[in-house]
Amino acid sequence: MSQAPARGLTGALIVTLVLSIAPLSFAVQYARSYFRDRAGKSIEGQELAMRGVPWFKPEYKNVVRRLAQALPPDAGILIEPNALFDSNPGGRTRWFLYLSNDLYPHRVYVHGPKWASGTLVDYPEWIRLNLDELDTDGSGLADLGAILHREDAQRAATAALRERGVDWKLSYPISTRFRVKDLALSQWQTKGDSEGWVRIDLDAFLKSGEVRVL
Amino acid sequence: MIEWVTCVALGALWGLGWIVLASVEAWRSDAASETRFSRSRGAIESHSLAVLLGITTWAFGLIALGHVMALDRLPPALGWIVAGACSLAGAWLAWTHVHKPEALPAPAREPWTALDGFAMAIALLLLGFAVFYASTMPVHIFDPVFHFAFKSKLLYHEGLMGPGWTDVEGPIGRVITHPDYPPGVGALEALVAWPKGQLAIHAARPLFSLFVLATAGFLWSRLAEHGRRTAILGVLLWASLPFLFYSRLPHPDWAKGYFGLLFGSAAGEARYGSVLDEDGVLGRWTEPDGWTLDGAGDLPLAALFSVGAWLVFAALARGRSGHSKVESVLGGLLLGGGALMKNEGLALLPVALFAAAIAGLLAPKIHTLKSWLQDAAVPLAFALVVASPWLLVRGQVPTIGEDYPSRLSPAGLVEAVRSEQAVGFLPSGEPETEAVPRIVANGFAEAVTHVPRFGLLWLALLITIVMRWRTTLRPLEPTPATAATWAILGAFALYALVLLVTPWNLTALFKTAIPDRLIFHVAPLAILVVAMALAPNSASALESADPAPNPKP
Repeated sequence: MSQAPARGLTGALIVTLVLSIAPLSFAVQYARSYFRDRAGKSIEGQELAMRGVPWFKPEYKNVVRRLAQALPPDAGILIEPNALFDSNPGGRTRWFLYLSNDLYPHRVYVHGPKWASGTLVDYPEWIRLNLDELDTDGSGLADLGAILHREDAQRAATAALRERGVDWKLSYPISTRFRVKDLALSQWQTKGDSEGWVRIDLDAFLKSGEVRVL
Repeated sequence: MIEWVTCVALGALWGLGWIVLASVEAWRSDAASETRFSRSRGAIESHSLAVLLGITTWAFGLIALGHVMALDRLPPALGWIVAGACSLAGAWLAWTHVHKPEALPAPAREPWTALDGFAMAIALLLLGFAVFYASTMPVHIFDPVFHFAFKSKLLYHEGLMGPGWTDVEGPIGRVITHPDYPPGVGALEALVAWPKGQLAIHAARPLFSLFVLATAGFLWSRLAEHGRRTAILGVLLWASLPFLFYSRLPHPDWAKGYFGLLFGSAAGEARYGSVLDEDGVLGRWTEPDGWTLDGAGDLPLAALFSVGAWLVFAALARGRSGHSKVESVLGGLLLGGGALMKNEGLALLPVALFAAAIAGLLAPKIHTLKSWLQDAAVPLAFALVVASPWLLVRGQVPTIGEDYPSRLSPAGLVEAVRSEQAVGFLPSGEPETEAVPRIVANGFAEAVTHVPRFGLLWLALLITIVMRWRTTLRPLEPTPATAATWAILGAFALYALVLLVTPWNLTALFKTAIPDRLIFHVAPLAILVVAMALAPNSASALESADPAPNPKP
């Protein structure tokens, strides 16, 4: 056994021990914050105590919990944006994604699911599809190309929704904050020969499951 | 959070792992053919392998079952019975196996020094913390929640390949991020759901610490052959790897970040003020956090690939003894398990076999090409069998942008090498661009020198490779360490190619700790190579498949 490798081994062990101060400090800080803020709380209580996670925000979780309770168990729901509040929307504004996860096993649908399922690189295209081509914000504004496609796109979307039995629609503004007062819930209703989305009172629905047409 | 179903699932996977381990050893071992290369498997290694094999086998079984039914149709009572049966069988096998006199490992007779004891205590403390950390934090980071845990919901409520997986290409459809990510992690979460009768993602999170513990156990076992201090170094390198726990410091400036780590983010913020983010906005200091133990696929892949690859390298280096057959099968199973956890696991499979081939071809030949191919076919076949429930459907799953196999064409690579991407803005307001290969190279350079994430691991590996270049290029025989070195280099090369053609904006991608999360997949292999290079019998460790006896005190 030569001396050099043994010295190297001992040296490496000492250096590794010195470097382990960082993860050990993290362990101490983490344990302190855990016992201070979260120990003994339920999962939901712990989630609410964690800052910086959009889908743990109380206003969002409150809506999700009540919506999940009020919707029929086999309901499919379309999630679409109805306004653009952030000029440069980042990943944290993808509320459709969070709703899809948190409302499960309710089936959540979106327009352009391929763009919605993609990376942040695809997100601007999904916003363009919804707001410009499909005019989900009702502004009527778009470039000529989008307007030319609009009628066909809306017809295809409606047919696809009927095929999947999607009778509910929740519209939300694209914003870093989950703006509860700007949410809009609609139900697909048929009256005689006419059928279409009918806006219903979200507050009443979340409180009691009552479908009150606005 | 640890719930009773966490413990039930732990028993189920540990027990099934023991059943698989004992079955393979009984099936493939041939005492008559054992040669000088044979080695006994100690209790720590056996338990570590059992855990990894159990996870692999359950992932395989539940994904396969997902082909024919939604897993929520399985009665919870049956989950109890199966878990109980696995636990009892595992306990009996573990008892009889570990207590066989011939199965006892050669005990290390070196005296414990104060340094060894202290280092071991720190390593054990950090391993214990890994369990605590995994058990006390809700699953909360984007990738673990949306890329991985969401698939457990689909697997559990819809089975494999229902509309939740596939209805993503029309004008209206469902949302699923990375539908082509394999559902191995989801299967682990579904295993916890089975006896409970409902999904409990948070109850599955503690199981991720098993990957840390099992890898530590394997490192200990394999390195203990080269001296106790070598083994302690290996386990400490792994247990103290910051990337296991967090990927960013509380402040982007390292000095301030370390201050925040030592004294807390609040203390750091009070002392140094708010953080100025990239948009020039003042914000709060963050808490250190990371993907690894939150339920992403990287840690499972790192553990399964590294342990599986090392077993295969050892088997191929040893030739055709009965024990090498066992290692070959076990290694193949674990490599297949890696492919069920992340797509990179499938890509790393040929990397591992090429690495073993290079190590064999560079050494004076002890096998003919035909016999080597025959030997290599065994782990490959077992890996593909394990991955098959996913491979059978993977081609039908939409790829959503990240179709790397088709992008990695010669034409795609040439285009990527010539292309540029925006990396920021010039003072004039014009976008600042840089050649893609240069951005990728900078990303890797930053990752391997990122001390807050990896300590000095990659630099130590680099020094080892430089100092041992003769061994790497011209080994005396095809050793596991040489093959592992080539596998690490191969993984780096593969990931560099993938990043060249990724549809992502690289600057945005690198903010999510890529390529760090990718090279982490071979971190345990790097630890084995570095520790063996520093072992007292390092020449033997690196240049021979047959470990030398422990040095006498």
